Amino acid sequence: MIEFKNISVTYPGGVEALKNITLDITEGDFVIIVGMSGAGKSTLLRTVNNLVEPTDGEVLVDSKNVTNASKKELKVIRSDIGMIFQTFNLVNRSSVLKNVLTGRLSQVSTIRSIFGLWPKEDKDIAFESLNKVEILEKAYVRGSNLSGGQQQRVGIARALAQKPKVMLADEPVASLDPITSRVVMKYLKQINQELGITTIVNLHFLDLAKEFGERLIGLKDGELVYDGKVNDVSDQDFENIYGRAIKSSDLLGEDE
Amino acid sequence: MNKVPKKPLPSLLAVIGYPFTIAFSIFSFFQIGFNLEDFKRNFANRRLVTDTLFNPKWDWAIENASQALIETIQIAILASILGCFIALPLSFYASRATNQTTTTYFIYKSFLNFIRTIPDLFWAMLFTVAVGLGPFAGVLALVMFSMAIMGKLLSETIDSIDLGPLEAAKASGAKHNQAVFSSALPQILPNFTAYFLYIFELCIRASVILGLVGAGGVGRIIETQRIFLRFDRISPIIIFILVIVIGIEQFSVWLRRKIL
Repeated sequence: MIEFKNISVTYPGGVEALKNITLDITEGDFVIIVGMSGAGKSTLLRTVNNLVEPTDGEVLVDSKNVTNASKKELKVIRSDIGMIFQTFNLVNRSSVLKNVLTGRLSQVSTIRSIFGLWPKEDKDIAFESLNKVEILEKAYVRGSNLSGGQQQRVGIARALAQKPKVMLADEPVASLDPITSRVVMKYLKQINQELGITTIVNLHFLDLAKEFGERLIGLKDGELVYDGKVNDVSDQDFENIYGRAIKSSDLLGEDE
Repeated sequence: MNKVPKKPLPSLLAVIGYPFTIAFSIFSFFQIGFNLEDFKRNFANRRLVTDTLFNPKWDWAIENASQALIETIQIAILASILGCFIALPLSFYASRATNQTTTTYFIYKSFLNFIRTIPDLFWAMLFTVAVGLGPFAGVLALVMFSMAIMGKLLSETIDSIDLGPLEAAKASGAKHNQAVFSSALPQILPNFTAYFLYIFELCIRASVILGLVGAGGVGRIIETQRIFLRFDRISPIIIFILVIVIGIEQFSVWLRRKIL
């Protein structure tokens, strides 16, 4: 479903964020990427929808080349890829519904979206998505009036409204408390299982990765240091990823 | 205890800047001929102005100036609405956050800067030549005036918006304009409204002056009466304008509190 072919990313200024990564992600997988901050997790995720363009190599999504796509093709490819952000990235002043409808923008004309003339089926999809993350009753509430966990659920609903084939989650729980984190992860997992959406999640909490992940990818300094089943990960593997023994700060902790 | 780092020297800008500013102010003070003697001498003649100024001829003003005063307000309303709404899309092109193309960014930014450098009275003179004397020229002049101010204030506000929602919209495959409209515009609407009210207020004051060059409004009456030192006829007009400006100010404060 997603193929990374020898991709490298060097940022202006010379920072090598990724070094020659080759990966193949199967359709329907729930993949978790772990690594310290600065290991290249975010960069790797962002090459999938070309928010970051690889300096070398290419990425294929659903057999379509993302890296060499024209602007127009890229928009079509992106419409199949949902994304969730650490800081939620909602428009705080707009209603929840309007935020979720952002996920439908690629399907309607500019004029229609500007005047808010959404076709009924697009609105229905938005409501359906909100229902999926059990926050439908907040549809007409302003984004800023929601708690962090609720905002992230709206973020998930916005991505779901795209009817995506792939879901990218960039540190989706890093701004949330442990209990809310598990709720958000539970929704992501549920969506992956029920709708079969291929999902990649960046995390830095190891226990959360173990709890929800199937396949685990470990990055260290832009290099692939682990790729395998979550259940097979040894403490030694984690040490390879983090370059030191596991500390309690690497764990999210139990929810009471 | 570790060694406390040495306090850094004050920056060169401060070392040169402060004395220069002070010296320049003192120099300017003498250069423009500011002297209290003139003030004292002329103060003796104050009654020439004050006697008439504090004796407003209300009847005369209501009969002769109300039409022009209404025209002044109409010019200000029309011009601030037109100018601000033209500036709204331009501002997005003149901001780094929503326009990544360096050339078009530069063109729009320079265009707005250029309009701003030309004083409103000069615009009014240009337009009286172009479309003839009267309020239409005044409206056009103040359209340029409000467009320039709104463009400046708004494009700088857009520079500092949260780019996250914009990235989210882009990531979903939205077109650039859709992303800007859905994610950037709602963030700056409260500022836009506040700026609009401020510019409307500026336009009211500016449109009072427009009459001096024949671009409509109450300015022409003020000018002719001033020549004959009829401050008794001017003072009610000034009071009317004062009341209107205070009214708008109060309304802005109320509205701003509502929307922010």
